[in-house]
Amino acid sequence: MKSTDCEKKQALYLKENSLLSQEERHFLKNHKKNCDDCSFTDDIFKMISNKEEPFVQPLDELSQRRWNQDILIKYNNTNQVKTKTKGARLLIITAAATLLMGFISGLIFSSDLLNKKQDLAIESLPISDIKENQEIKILTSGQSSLLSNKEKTNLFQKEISTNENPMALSMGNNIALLLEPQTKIKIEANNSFETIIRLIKGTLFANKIPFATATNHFEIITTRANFEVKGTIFEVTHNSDVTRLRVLKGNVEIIEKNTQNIHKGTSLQKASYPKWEQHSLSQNDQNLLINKMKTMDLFEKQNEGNLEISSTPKGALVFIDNQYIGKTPLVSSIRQGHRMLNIKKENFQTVTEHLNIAPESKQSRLFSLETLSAPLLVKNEQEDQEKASTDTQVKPRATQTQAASANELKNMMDKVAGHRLRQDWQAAALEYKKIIARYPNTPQAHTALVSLGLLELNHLNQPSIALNRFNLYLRKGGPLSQEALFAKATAYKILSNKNSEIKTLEEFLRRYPGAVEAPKAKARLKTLK
Amino acid sequence: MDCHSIFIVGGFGSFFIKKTYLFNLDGHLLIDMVSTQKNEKTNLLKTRWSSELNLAQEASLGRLDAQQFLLNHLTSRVRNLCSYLTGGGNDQDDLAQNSLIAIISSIGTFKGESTLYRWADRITINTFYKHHKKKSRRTNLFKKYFQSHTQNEDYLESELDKNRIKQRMAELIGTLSPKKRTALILYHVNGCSIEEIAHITHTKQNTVRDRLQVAREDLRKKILADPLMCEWRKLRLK
Repeated sequence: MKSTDCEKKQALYLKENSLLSQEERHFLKNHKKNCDDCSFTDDIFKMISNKEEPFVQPLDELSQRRWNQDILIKYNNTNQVKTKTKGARLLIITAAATLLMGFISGLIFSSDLLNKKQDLAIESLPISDIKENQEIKILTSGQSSLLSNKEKTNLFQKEISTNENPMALSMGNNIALLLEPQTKIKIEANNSFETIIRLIKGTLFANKIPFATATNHFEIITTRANFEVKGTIFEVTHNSDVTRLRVLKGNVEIIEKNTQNIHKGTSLQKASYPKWEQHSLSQNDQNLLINKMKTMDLFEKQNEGNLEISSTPKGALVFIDNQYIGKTPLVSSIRQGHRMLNIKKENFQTVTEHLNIAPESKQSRLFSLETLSAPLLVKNEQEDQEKASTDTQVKPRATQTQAASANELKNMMDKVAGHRLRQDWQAAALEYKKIIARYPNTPQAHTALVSLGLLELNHLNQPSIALNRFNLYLRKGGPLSQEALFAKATAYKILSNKNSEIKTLEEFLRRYPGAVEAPKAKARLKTLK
Repeated sequence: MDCHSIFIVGGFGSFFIKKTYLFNLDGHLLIDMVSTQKNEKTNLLKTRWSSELNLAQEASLGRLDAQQFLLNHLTSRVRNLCSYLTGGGNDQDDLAQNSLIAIISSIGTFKGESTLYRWADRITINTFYKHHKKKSRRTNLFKKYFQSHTQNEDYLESELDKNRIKQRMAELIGTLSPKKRTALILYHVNGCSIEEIAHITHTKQNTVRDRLQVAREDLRKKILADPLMCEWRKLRLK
């Protein structure tokens, strides 16, 4: 097929159907039949245009609720900050403008500042300006706790080693390090003037943002060579057999220990002892380095939250946004935002959870992993469910094969979603009751208690039954406890039980002072009192 | 009917008729917008809101149920759009969240002149442009290399591995410049017309058309050269 025909076809693609001539329509029809390339690319475009199969799957009910909560909390916080900082913003703009004028004047009158050579920079920096021992922050650790963010971490001249888990360090000076497992380093210097790391063994991945601080000297020392870094993303491996450099971006000078010969490592190149000849990075190497960068990006010290993850049994692999960060028990600083957490262990079911990491937040998660061979259903405990359920016709099933049960449960959840969309509350409630009765002790049944309770409260005019359901949920607790507690107060309000409503609202405000419903709860409490 | 007679009829009519004819005063362009908008309006049957405008007004007054309904309604669309805009990167959910916050913050400015979906698309695109500008050089490095590597391995288990293909498409789309990417995604993923894209991105229709053409051609070349896409093509032919 001639490429000119393909170009003509592309040009006609955007023309409206009604404006095409007979000849053009004929051409398009024939071209699609005869040109494999155009036919293939058109099919791909059709696939991404298919709205029935979106790229990103819709969130399930629980995740959607959490998502909504997070957004509304952030929206409320943003509103508060906006009103307070209006005046402060003006002050900052004025100060920034003054600083900028000063900087430009300095550039014009001082030739030293234009000189980018490290040597000159070293000579010009007065010693009094060197700040000793900049704060080093451990961003992830396989130990039981991280050192407090507020404390100055004094790791200067101490050996830092990793076992099974990688470790990320923020050095200040816009330098971040990722230590692979089985790595040992020693920080020889870390001040405003220089950062010198001795790599004793293992692999160190480093990222230094260029030109962030013009005077900062960054060097990695091994027994075979020193690696002087200008501002770049790279990895150094050193052990008894090999010393190797891989550069993703930027320039690294390799200074041989014995001969003082200087070699270069440049973007997408690698070099290794003893010859230090440059070779191109393979696609695999590039992939590996990019993945490490993604991992570092997760840990980077920028409005991070603190996350502690443990599991029974221990030693489960922890992935955040598909990046491996270590094994449980694990404590880590994670960059703020929505993250997807996966916990995996051989012979155990994988656990997936959506997290929202707020700045300076602390979260703790304990996961009890279920074995893959265990059936989905466990021993049926009817007592609590029967108290709440008015539908005695649905009886719990005996133990089923895991796959069939999971499928059926999924179908039931889909049915519920369909009923809710059509606002057929009775049908949705019935479906929820079936899930609770047939699959008790599953997370879905536990969540369904709250969903069913809300339906009964808001749409089916059954506040007392709804109250039982909320109490049942709150007895065990879970991620919807906040919602269940507030709904419980609403149920008491409808039942005109003033004292219970007051107690519930007070408990709600004590446990969740920052909740979206908190202002409403306060106002109601004031009215009642 | 010419424009003058339409205007006169509109002047005598009710507020409702006037609104309809106001669209027609711009002729062909806005008739197209109305016809595509019909399919994309929010389903407000059995809710207490009479129209999208009513929903927006209540949400802007801080009514929690209106805001939650809005979020439930727009989340999937916004997340899907953001996933393509970021090339399937780690920051897609961050962008989606920021977009939805921007939507809630500015819901008071929704006047009902377009559908809620289109209006939300515009806010999302504007948020994306701001987000894109703020990103560091290191993050741009991700985009530069992202087309040729991912966490997953470069093979397909079956011809039906559509999610994998979509992921790769998102990555390839992510290598286009922001403006071309926006035009392409709005056209193919969100089904916007050229006029709507021009309205959303504050550009002329001819500019949108040019961007789309160039984007499609660039993307076509990348698809035909991509190893994973070639693999999928072979599997399909078997």
